[in-house]
Amino acid sequence: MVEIIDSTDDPGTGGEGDQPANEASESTGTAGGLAVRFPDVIGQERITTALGRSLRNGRVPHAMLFLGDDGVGKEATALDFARALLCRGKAGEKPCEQCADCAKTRQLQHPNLKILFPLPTPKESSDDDAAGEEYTAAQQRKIDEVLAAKRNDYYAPLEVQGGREIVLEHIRTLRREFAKTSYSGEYRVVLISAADRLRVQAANAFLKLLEEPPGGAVFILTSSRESRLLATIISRCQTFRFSPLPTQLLERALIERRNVATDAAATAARLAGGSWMQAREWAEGDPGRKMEQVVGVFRVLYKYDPGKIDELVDQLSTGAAAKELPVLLELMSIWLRDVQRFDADPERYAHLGRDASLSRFAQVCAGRDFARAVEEIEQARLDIERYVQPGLVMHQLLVRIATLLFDHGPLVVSR
Amino acid sequence: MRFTVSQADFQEAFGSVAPVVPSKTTLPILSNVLMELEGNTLRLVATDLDVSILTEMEVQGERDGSLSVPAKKIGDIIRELEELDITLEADEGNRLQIIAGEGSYQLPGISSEDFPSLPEFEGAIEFSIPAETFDRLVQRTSFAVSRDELRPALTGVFLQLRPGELRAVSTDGHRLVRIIDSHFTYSGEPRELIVPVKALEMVRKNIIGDEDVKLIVGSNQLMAKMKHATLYSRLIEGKYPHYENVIPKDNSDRLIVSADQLARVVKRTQIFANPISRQVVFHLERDQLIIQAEDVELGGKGKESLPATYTGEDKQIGYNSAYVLELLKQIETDEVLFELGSTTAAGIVRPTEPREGEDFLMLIMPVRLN
Repeated sequence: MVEIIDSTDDPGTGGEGDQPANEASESTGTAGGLAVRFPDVIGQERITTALGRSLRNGRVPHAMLFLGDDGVGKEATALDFARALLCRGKAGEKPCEQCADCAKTRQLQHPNLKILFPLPTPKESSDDDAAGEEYTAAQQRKIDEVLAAKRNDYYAPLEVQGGREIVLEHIRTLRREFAKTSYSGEYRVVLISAADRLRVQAANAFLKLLEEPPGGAVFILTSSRESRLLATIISRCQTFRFSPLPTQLLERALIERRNVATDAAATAARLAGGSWMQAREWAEGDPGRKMEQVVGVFRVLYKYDPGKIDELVDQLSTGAAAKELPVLLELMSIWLRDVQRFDADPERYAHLGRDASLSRFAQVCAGRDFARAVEEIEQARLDIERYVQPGLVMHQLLVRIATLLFDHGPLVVSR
Repeated sequence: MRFTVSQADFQEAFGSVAPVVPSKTTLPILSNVLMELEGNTLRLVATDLDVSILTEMEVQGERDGSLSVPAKKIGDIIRELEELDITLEADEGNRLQIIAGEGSYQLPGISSEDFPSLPEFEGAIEFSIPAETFDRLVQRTSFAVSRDELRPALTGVFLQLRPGELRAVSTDGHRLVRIIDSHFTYSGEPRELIVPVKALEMVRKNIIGDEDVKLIVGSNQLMAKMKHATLYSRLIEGKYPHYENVIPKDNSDRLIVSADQLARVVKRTQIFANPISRQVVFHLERDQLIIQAEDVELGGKGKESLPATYTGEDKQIGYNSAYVLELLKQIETDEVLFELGSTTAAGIVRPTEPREGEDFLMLIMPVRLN
């Protein structure tokens, strides 16, 4: 078939080449007094400051990539920034929380805010494009629940059971969106959560959008697995690296935002590894009791009574306790890390000294090979994962740690 | 919000916005219809963000207010209700209560704040088109619009507003339609826009009788105001191709043939055409036209001649029969005029007698013959 219009004539594929960043419009203004707020975000000032500046200067990047561990606030930052971009209030701060746009963005119901995240494939269809089909009522309910949780808490994970990938159909909906003029306003924000789970075809289709960004489009991609991202996607985005949150910040946030008791907050924050979601999870359990159990283990090792060690091994590696072993081992290495830090620099890690048992242990094992001990714990964790008998693993581990930290000689194994 | 309305009136008004509600959406609020009561006027709004539609109706209002409610549920219950007066009331918990006779039904809504605001129109261009003209423009152009999402500009109808002239153009790369209406009363700056075909069809369906359709063009959206409904549509972004360049200027061979007879002949012969290419061959001779189709794989063939007036050299041109039939449907005169050039050049198809104040032209690309 002869075509009337040659495809080279089609502006859709022609492209203007590289386009500058979104220029400021009068509504978002270059007014110096504009304050960009991130009310939901904990910490990450370096990044929020940079984002705020980009909005004030009218140089918001077309595509941004937020990298960092789970729970450090990538999506919360993205959503708060989206709210600032879409706010059309006349107040001196964005989001103003007063205009009609802010009411909609708060509920993640704004026409110019699209959120993509891995979803399950509807039915048992193996077709790549099937995500456009109807979901079963149960699947739909799960998706709605995830979105509802996100509305209530921007830190809630966008994870639907069975959702593995972002498929081509999702990108097609974006393409349809950007083929048309904006519903209203200037910016159109797209959040792509877990961008490392873009399926190959979807990623390629998405690249086309990234290469010729439609006017007003702001793509924010998040990922905690940088190594799985396509290099072609990374190279087209401005990258922002989110650091793990400092312990004190998490502790304060737990107390202020979640009304967690001071002691529990301190312990949970220490266990969280810089993640707000982990900190909350720990705070919801009984972190103090868990930590005491850990300290208890080290006490037994310090006293080094063979009978007691055997008893402890039995206690930890049989029945329901065996399932808790991976957590216990993780806590043991976290605790050792803290002891080591306090030992190395008591001033900098003064807050750890509030825990009396920790500072005492730091004195007792000053200068010992903590790194080896942590390695041993990690090895034990792997062994248990590989179904080596937990009792054997724990016994060996405890004896080794006792040797490394408290300088006890080899023990006559009694079993 | 509280008001009373007859079941039949409400169902009718509801029925004119409900078709816009998307069946699946990532934005839950879009499954809802917005109800806003001010005095005795109830406004109903539905949107899929591409097209939004608003209708107003008279009710007995008691308390102003607004709420968005799930379209499917409310549509279902209204349809099943007896023909009585029904009272609808929204409470503080965003629930809607429907009271009809002895029945009372309650369903949860979502705050109207979350419902997408209707677009604002600043510094917009306004003009009116008689319903009949609008209907013709849409009907004549919508069939030739492309379905290919990779070339979004072609998926809409291209409107060019010029002083005293409105042009509507559509093409999918294989055929093209251009219709120029010179009754057009417009005196503003020339303006060009690409309108999604779905929006135009929706306006056409909502026109009642011979009203004028008032069109308002904003920077992002088009608004079509009709007597009982107002429709908003986003526009298609991008540049429309330079279609004028592809309309041949020197097609000197003229073929005049009965449109109706040609359509019937093509319908018969195409049965024997290859089902994929749907190719039929026009054998052009001085006083007759032979239509021939052959499916080499299956061995079937068909051939039929009909009287015609033709001014050029004898030649053969292949066409996709489906396209030929679609073009012929648009011809209102008894006879159809083909203006043809070489066997690979676009052919122009028009009515033999143009309507007063209208220049209507269709283009069809031939299929290369082996």
